[in-house]
Amino acid sequence: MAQPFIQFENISKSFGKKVVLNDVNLSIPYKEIYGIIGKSGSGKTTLLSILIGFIRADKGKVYYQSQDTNKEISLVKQQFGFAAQQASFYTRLTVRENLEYFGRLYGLKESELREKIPNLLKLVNLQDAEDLQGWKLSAGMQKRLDIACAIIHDPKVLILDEPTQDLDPVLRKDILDLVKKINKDKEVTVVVTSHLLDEVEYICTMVAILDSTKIITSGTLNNLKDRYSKYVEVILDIETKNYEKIIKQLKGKQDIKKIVVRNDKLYLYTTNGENLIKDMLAFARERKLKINNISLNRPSLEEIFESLTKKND
Amino acid sequence: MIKLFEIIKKNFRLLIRSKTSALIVLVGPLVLMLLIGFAFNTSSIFDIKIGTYSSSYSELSNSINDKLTDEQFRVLKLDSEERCIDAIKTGEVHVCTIYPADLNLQTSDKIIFYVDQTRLNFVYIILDRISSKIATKSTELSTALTNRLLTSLNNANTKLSEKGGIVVELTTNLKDAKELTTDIKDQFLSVELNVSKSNFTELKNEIDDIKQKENLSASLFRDLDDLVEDVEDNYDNLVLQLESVASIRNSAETGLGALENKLAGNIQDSVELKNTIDEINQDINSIEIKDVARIVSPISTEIKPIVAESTNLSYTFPTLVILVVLFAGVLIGATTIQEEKSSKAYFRNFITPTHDILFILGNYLSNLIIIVIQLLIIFAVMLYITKTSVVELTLLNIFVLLAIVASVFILLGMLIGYLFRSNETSNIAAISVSALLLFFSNTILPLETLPTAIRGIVSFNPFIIGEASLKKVLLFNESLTSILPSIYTLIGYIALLVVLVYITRELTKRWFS
Repeated sequence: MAQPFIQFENISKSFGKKVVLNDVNLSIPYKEIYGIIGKSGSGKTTLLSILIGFIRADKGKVYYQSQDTNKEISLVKQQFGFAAQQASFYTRLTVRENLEYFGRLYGLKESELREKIPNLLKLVNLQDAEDLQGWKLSAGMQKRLDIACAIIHDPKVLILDEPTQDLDPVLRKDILDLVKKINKDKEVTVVVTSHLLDEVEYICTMVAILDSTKIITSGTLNNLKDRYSKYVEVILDIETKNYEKIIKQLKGKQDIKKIVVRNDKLYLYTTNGENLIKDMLAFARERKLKINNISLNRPSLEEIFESLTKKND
Repeated sequence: MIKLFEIIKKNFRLLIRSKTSALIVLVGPLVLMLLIGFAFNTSSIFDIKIGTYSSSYSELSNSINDKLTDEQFRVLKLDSEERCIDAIKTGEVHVCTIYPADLNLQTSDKIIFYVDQTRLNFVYIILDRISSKIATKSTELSTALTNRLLTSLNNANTKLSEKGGIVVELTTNLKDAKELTTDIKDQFLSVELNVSKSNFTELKNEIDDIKQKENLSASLFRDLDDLVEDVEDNYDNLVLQLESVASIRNSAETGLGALENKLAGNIQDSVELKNTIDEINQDINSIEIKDVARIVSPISTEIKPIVAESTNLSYTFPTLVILVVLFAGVLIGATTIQEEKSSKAYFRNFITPTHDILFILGNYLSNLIIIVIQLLIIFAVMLYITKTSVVELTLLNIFVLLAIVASVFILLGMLIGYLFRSNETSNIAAISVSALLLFFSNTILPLETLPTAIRGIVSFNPFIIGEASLKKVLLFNESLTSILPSIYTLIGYIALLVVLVYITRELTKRWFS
């Protein structure tokens, strides 16, 4: 089996008495867009900060291409690009000056910068704004400049922490497409954190769910869906919305593996959806419950996330 | 090196593009220095108001007031002593002078000054200036009195010298008179006035014999007897008269003896008088200083500056420069770090393959360049205002020293910038630390007023070290080697601060995670 590109091994981190990460293990393969999802404050940013060597784990190690990142911090800095939640560049410098400055800090020569910057500006679609100071850019342009600053040195790994935070849906898609493009064109492994699961589902090929200081699951999207899709969901919308009583009555029913109330609907997880629909229709008839709607669905990432994280609440 | 240059270039771009920062950082200290330059470029103090009160002004007190009234002082006559003291409290006047009633040279009462001791830095200057004015008047009076005294003394000396000859002549005359008296007395003594009573009986017996023998007529004998009788009577009278003369001679001799003694006494007195006159003359002549000015002020003092410059600016310039370097250094240091920390790009700097020390060095050098530019302009302004010419080597020494001093303050400011999270707290801390360094220096209160233990600690204040060193180099043209201990101390501070800045930067990284 091939060595993982990036591997977190038993990572633990606390701030004071607050445990943020506890024995986290995670493998990120090469060239994937790897999403780490979790609730706000679940430790996603801390995990990324440990990955880029900005903070040190209390326990455990991170390996990049089998090398301990703590020992090879210069390698990490040279081969990793990072875009934080907030755009990180000098607002009083122009787009070009920012790229030149950070390019220089990454050790690029002037000739390299002369060649690289126009291409990069084209990639992030900022060629018309190169002489604008950072503060004059729109939110989307700022995010694109931030990503451009993160990849000026052609990193092997691009780490994006909530890349679409505070952006409107159109700009979000813009950024997500850019990330996909970077991943494809530059063969960069992308690690992205987000709590917007539809986004993750849109760009990520692999996902890990971080909850209660631990990675509770990880894998490719399909793999996750397969894993958690052995139960299909039957969605039941009953007029009275009196789901608590119904749940009590359904308890003990063999073919129902899990029951969740979400958005005033009852989600029932089962291995045999069609049988359950029949049973539920009969159940409603017996109790004279009016059914507004009943449907069968394979769970989305959001649903998988909710179902998994709810267990731990 | 390229990275360092890029960091410095970036810092200057940011500084120039932030107009308010550029204004505060670059223009602020220069305007301050320019104003200070024009304000302090004089050796005078102006518009000192003196309140005076006397229940009865005399010619002398009025003349002192006249003496005080010039471009520096304004004299206000007030109604009462209380009013005069109140006027100081309200700031109407700086000093209150109370003259005794009818002040004159015979008065033993003192002139009293009331001053506001809370204006420590000012009160002694005022007292000094007023005292010097009054001392001038006092000297004038003293000179007049001494002049009169000396004139009298000179006159006495001259007259005594003149009359010395008369005394000598008198002594000679007295000696002559004494000798004459002695001669007369001797002559008197030589006159023999003792006569023995002649025995006329024998003469009569002879006459009787002759009468018997010669048988002479009785009438003849009677006549002879009468004649003898007459001779005898005359002789007796003569004896009596001689006895009287002898008595007179004796009393004259006694008188002459007394006269002789008196003359001898007078001669002695006149000799003593002559000696005394000689001694007095000698005493007067032995007074070496007969110049009035020298007698009024026998020890001449003159306060000479050890440097050629004579304006307040020249004396205070080193302090002002260090003051500007202190505040500019600490504030620029703290502000640039705060701006860097609050900048969106701060985090990205951390994750680039650039050593942290390079960012510290970049920030430090950027700030140092700003301070050096400020100092260049300050020195240009200073040299233009004071028309002073400074030797190139001295100028180089000054800049080396100032760069070292500025480094201490910049690094101190950077440490503050890293230590505090917000701009506000950082600025307050920067100003507080600067003020603390200023308060515990010679600028506000002389260090000598502090207890020994505190003075020992305070002597390590980089402001004091910098100020003292700059004075030596700038005013006394001393070389850097003569202030090596101070330079070593400052370099020690720089090394310590670099370590502290580095540690603080590393420790405060977590605030951004």
